[in-house]
Parts: sequence; structure tokens; C-alpha cells
Amino acid sequence: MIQIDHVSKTFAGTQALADCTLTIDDGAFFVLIGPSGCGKSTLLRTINGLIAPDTGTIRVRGKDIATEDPERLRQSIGYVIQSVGLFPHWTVAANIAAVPQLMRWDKGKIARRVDEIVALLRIDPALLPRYPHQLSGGQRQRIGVARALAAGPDLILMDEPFSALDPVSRVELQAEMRRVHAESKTTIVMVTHDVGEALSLATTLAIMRAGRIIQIGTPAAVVGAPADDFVAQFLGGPERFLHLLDVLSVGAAMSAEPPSGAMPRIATSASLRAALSLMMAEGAQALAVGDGDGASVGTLRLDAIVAASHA
Amino acid sequence: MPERSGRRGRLAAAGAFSLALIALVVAMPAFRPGLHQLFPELREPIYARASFVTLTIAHLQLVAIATGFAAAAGIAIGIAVTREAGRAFAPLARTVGTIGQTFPPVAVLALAVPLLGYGSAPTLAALSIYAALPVLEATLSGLGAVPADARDAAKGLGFSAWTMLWVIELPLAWPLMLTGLRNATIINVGTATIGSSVGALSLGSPILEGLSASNPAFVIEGAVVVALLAITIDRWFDVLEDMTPVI
Ligand SMILES: Nc1ncnc2c1ncn2[C@@H]1O[C@H](COP(=O)(O)OP(=O)(O)O)[C@@H](O)[C@H]1O
Ligand SMILES: [Mg+2]
Repeated sequence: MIQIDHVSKTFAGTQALADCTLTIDDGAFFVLIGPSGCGKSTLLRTINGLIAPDTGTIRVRGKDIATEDPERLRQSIGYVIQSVGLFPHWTVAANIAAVPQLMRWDKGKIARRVDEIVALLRIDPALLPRYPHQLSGGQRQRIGVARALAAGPDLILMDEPFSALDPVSRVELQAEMRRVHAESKTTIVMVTHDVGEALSLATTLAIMRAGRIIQIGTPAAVVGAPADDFVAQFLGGPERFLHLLDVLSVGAAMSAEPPSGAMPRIATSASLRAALSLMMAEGAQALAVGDGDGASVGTLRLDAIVAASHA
Repeated sequence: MPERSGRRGRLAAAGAFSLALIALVVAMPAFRPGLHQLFPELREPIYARASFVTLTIAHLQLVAIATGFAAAAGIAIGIAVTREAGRAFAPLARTVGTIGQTFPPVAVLALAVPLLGYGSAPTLAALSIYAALPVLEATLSGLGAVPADARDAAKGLGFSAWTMLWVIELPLAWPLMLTGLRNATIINVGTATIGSSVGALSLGSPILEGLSASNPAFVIEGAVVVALLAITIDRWFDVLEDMTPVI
């Protein structure tokens, strides 16, 4: 979907990007993480041409974006920012319809699409005639995401979209994004400085420091084998493995061995964190793994949880 | 619904002042006996070189044309210096907009006469320049108050600069711009009177004539019509501002 090739950018003496090269595959949930000021936003904003690199090329869908019409390019890419930036004088419905309107879809098609998006993101239709200042922060960002998805882009860029939200809204919207990604196969590039959020959402994780990409890999691979001390420390030092418990599911660590009758039960889809917590609560070293119908499909042992982090 | 009755009240006030103004201007000669009693020493208590209808229309023309120029110039400059290419001139425009308004309009008029001669031309020039300043300042404040995140989002979603100006920035700036236009117009209604000192026909003509000929009745007539005109226009702006949605 995206090839970034030897991209550098300097702002008035500050080097924001130093020779960044990376590829983002179709359908990836690509999360860029790193300390504040390391160049994450700058890198993200080069992808839709909001920032032109000093050197290097960026290809989106195989085409060098420097040769494309910038407005067309941006209309084809969803864009979500931390402060949302809803248009305050437009209703929620008009905000959601912004990009289809720019692309001059006909009225009927826009109305149908707004209905679809409202259903997809579980937006209360009563909000549609309201204005942004009448919404809570969580509702506002949900509308921000809806606006980015409205024209059906195959690529969405998100710059710390949930950082300013209360914990409940944040978890809800993270779950929505995970679901949207799984259902639509949209490629998502998200910037965050929240390690837990990054590990729980990413299919691929990239760690940046001082304008450079330090490491790219799956969350488990990066946590299991950090490229250097900085990466290990940034991900939480020795405790970084605990984040993986949220990411990995029981299904990924269980064995097919039939459980004994006395074991506490847990679902295949539960996280290893939930499994570990259940073991601690029950004083058990092993759990019976059940599928949705209540039939047992295997056993999860404590040592398998330990091993899963290194898979 | 309180909102509705508020709007109706505003419309009623604007309409009532308009009728009072028309009645006063048309019926000015009818005040002769009363003014005669008030100023028994005056031989002619009603200004008669031109009817108050003619004077009021001439005055309104000056104000309308000058405010039109002022609005066009103030808004255009305000937009130009807030675009990427003109941003370097924004501090200059802001300074001129603020300091320019402390400059007395008589001085602007005095400077315009040598360039444009006597009559309505220097008056229009002085009024246009002077009234452009509050419009410019209001345009800059209005555009400056457009939330940066809304602009970032609009650009990132693929709005062209032109579309963003038209559908995001100007609508959000409009309430403040309208306040600037209101100030500019009211200032012009008062200031247009001094146009008569350089030969333009306006409601200042009876005032100046009254001052030079020691005829206080003329001064009162001109001043009362100007004041009523200013209040009437102000009431109509009130109606207009009320119809502008505030978010
Ligand atoms: N428009 C700009 N002008 C000047 N410096 C900038 C600009 N944008 C970013 N920078 C600088 O570039 C560096 C990277 O910024 P950014 O990409 O926003 O970091 P991050 O998103 O990782 O916090 C920072 O040092 C920042 O101060
Ligand atoms: Mg940033």
C-alpha cells in the first residue's frame, strides 16, 4: 500500500525525519510509536502530502505521490487527528458527509452512505442533526472517525486519535477500530505514544526515535527481541511482556490435550491476561478451553502462557 | 418560543425607527411653527437649500457607496494576508487596521482634498479608507478565530484552499465580520456629515450652515436626522446579526 523510500525532512534546523525507509502492506494495522517529538506526526503527514519531504519518495498504491493531485490523493485517504477538528458550524450529518460532498456524490448516495457509516460505527442517529459542541469528547472522535471512513478509503491515517479521550471512550473506540479493520481490510496507519494501545492494535509495529525507524515487526516479535536497550525500555522494560498478555488470545497458546473435569473454563477468544487472572483467582495451573457452544476443545497451561510470549 | 419573539421584537424596533425617520424627514417643514417659538430671533428656522428628503438620500448614498468600497477592500485585504502567500503582510495589516482607527477622519478628509478636489470624491475616499479599517480588523479577527484543528482536518481530508475558505473559514468568520461592517457603517453615518465641509451634499450641510450662520435650529435638524438614521441602521444590523446562526 505504501512505500517510503529514504525520506528525510528538516524544519529550520530540526531534523524531524532522518532517512526513513519502510513498507506498509495492504490490510496492515500499522502503528508508529516513539517518544514525543521523534517525528511520528511528520512521517504520517508525508503520506498524504501535508508535508513534503526534503529528499526521498513516497509511493501510495504504487504511485509516487509527488506526481499526484494532492487534493484527490487526500480525498482517497482517511485522516483522523487527536483534536478531531469537526467543522463547528456543520451538523454531525454534514460533517460525516464532508468528503463525499467534496467528491460530488449525488444526494441519495451520500444519504445512504451516511446511514451505513452510522450503523457501522454504532452512532446514535439522534446525534445526526446536532452540532459538534453538543457532543462529548468520545462522541466527537467517533464522528471524526466516521468522517474519515465516509468515502470508503482503503487507507486511513490516524494521529494519536484516542490520546485525549477518557479511558472508557478510548477502549470503546479502539475496539471499533479493531472491528472496522478486521471487517473491511482497510489499511490503517496510526501514530500513538501509548505502548498498550500500540501493542493491542498493531499487526505491525514501528518504533521511532529522533527521526529514525529503529525497529519494525509484529508486537510479539518486537517485545520478544527488542533491537536495543532503548526499545526494550520504551516498551516497558522487563514488564513489557505483560502488554503481550492483552494481545495474545487463549487460542494461540492452548494445547489440544483434553482437559480434566475439575479445571476452570475459559473461552478460546479470551486474552491471556484474562486467563492468567482466572488462574490466579482459582489457584489453578491449567484451564479447560471451551468453544462458544460449551464443548471443551483443549487445555491451557501456565507454562504455555510463558512460552507464548516467545512464539 | 422566546427566540421567535426576540426576533419579532427586533424587527418591530427596526421598522418603527424606519417609519419615524421617514416621517421626520418628509414632515420637516411642519416643525416650522414649533421651531419659530423655540428660536423667535431666527428669520428662517427650517433649512431650505435642499429638502431633508434630498439630503437624507444623498447622505445614504455616500454611506452606502463608501461602506461598499470599505467592505470590499477590508475583506479582500483580510483574506489576502491570511493566505499562505500573503502571511508575511499580516502583522502590517493588523497594525494599520488598529492604529489607523485612531487617526481622526477629518485629517483623512484634509489629505484627500488636495488629491481629489472638492465634492463627493474626497468624501467617498476618506469614508472608504476610514471604514475599511474596522472591516479589516474584524475580518482578521474572524479568520484568526477559525479553529486550527478544523483547518488541519479540512486540508487533510482533501479540501482545496478555495473550498476551505468558502465553506469553512468565511462562514465561521462571518459573525465577527458582520460586527465590523456594522461599526464601519455607523461610523460612516456620522462621519459623512463632515463631507459637507468639502462641498459634498449630506445631512452635514444644514449643520455646517447652521454653525457658520449662527442658526442653532439648522444644527439641531441635521443632527437629529443623522442620529435617527444611525439608530435605524443599527437596528437593521441587529436584525441581520440575529439571523446569523451563532455556533
Ligand atoms: N511545522 C514545524 N515547524 C518546525 N518544527 C517542526 C514542525 N513540525 C514538527 N517540527 C519538529 O519536528 C520534530 C518532530 O515533530 P513531530 O513529527 O510532530 O513529532 P511527534 O509527532 O513524534 O511528537 C519535533 O522536534 C518538532 O518540534
Ligand atoms: Mg505528534
